[in-house]
Amino acid sequence: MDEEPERIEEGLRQIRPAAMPQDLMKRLRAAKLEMQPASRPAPLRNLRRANWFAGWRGLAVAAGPAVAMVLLLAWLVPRAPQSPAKIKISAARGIKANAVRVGHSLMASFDAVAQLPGGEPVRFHCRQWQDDVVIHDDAQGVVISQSTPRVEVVPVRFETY
Amino acid sequence: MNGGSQDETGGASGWDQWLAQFAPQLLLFARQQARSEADAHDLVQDAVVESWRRQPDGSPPPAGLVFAVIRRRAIDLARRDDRRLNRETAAHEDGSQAWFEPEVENRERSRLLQQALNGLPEVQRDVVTLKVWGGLTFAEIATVLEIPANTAASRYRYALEELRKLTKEVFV
Repeated sequence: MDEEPERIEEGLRQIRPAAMPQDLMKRLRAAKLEMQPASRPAPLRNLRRANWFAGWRGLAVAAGPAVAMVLLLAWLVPRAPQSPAKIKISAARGIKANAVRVGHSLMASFDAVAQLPGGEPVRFHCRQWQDDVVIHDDAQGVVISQSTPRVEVVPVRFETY
Repeated sequence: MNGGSQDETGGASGWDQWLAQFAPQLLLFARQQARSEADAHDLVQDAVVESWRRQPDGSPPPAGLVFAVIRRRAIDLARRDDRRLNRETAAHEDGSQAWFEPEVENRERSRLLQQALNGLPEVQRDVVTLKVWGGLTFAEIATVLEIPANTAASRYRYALEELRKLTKEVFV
């Protein structure tokens, strides 16, 4: 009599539950595909950590194209003569400027688009300036001028462009 | 809890293995909880999806968790459809679907067993299903059904005794 429950239990186990209908299996597999890790909600703690990492990673990734852009522009912009002001000023001791003119000229303005490894586009607004300083000393008949090229590179969010 | 072992990664093969191992038991339990076959399918799908979403590492969920969600969703469904009073008879209304594998040598036994299980009070039937086919321990069953483990064990004993009477000719 004591063995009766075990015997019944064993008998029950021998009868297997009905197999899953194919359509339900398909539904479950489809649901699984929709729930790939990327689409699953992460726990809040993981999410915060992920955001922190994503922020730094995004910055690091964006820095690459930005540096490349600056290097490209530096190569494109004609180099200024080596320290002309220093030479002229040292030669022009005792110059008394009676007129100084400072000017900024916009030489070029263009946009450049780079692509992050993830495929996200990044737009850079580039402006090429030329800063001019002209010093006049009419008493000695000296005119000193210096032109310095300058490049502004401003990353622009694609959505707000 | 049983199911969803630690080395499973939630990849396609791990997921398929998990489904092959647990899905028939989940559907059996859902069929006993639901009013119709369509409801049972929905219960299984909703419970699997919800339980899987709760896994932080994406691994297949423990079977006990899915059983618990099936039960909770079935109760919600019954409440929503204002069918709570009919829940005891829910399993009887769509009797066309076989709960067990209709293997030739066990076909008659399967039919009688389904009939016998239907004859059990719901609280006992749940314990038997979770213990015998779900493979859960009494502690896990207690969690799923929100009852003390001792109650689960005693209900199981009563249920086996009842089944012994109801299926005398089946398990001789």
